[in-house]
Amino acid sequence: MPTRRPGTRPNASRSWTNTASTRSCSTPTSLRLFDFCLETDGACAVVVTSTERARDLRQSPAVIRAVAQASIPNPQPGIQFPTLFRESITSLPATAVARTLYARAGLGPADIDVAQIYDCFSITVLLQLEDWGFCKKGEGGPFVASGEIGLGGSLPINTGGGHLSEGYIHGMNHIVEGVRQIRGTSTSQVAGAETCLVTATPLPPGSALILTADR
Amino acid sequence: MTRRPLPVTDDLDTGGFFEAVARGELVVRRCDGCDAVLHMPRAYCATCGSWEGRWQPVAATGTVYSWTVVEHQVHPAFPVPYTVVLVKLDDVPGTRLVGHLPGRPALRPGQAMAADFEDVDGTVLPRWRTADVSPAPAP
Ligand SMILES: [Zn+2]
Repeated sequence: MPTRRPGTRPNASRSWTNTASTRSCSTPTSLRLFDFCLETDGACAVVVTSTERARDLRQSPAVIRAVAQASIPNPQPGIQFPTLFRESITSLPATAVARTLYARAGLGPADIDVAQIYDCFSITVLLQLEDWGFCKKGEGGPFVASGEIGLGGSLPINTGGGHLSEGYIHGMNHIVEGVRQIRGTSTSQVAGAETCLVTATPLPPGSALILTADR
Repeated sequence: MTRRPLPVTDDLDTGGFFEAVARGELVVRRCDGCDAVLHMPRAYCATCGSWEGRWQPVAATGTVYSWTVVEHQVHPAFPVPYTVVLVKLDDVPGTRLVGHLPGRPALRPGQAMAADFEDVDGTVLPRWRTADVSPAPAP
């Protein structure tokens, strides 16, 4: 969703609904200007400590429920975007990350209240929504178009604006926004959010974590 | 027009590909240890650890795996629009090569493609075209 974060006004006009009106960079996949993430200088920091210690601090903790990482099969050194040899260009390592992370967390897609999905390009969001089981393979487009990823939808995503609207801080801003959702301090807060999925780089390896409220 | 950027053709890993292309032939790298196709071509096999391999000639024909039309100008030597096509080799279907087609040709997945070979400022490169266009003679 377009960012509501203060200090990010120049990008606030970026949204899924007005992307179609921006200039085309490629067809027939129709990647347009707003389908590409912003180039941004910036920084984020997260403090990781034990849950016990975190309970003593001034801010309420966001608990790291589980983390996972996976790669595409047969990765090769130095090959960042293996479109020339990976089995299918519409499958990401997210499929394997999801399987492992859900198993470690003891949770499934239906348990996720809000998600921060790595969005270097809009297309990587569509593919990951499918890989993470929020919709069927091939149905990422209709899922997004029907409003399911908005604040009133079944899975609000990228509530800080993400890389497409807030800024490209290499996934770190997604983690920070995940923490805000769990604390209830997001500028696009999902009411009662207690679980937040945060995903990172789609290729060639990918990783993700699930944050939960301390309960 | 600006000169086209050209690949390094004497690299240890990929030099054999360009040597073959200069002869008007397409090749893939195969490992002698485990027979795996090494694509992208490499001297070393990450599967079995062998440094021994060979260049296997393959037909310069394939089918369209996917494509995209570039509308955003990136390099002055490649005026837009042009089409980047991923070609699945007929002889080694798991292996894809990249082709550059001018304009916005009508393509469909699985469409037949064939490569001929063009000399660009002294460097020979494969040139993929839809197969209904008869290829030019090899240099
Ligand atoms: Zn081998």
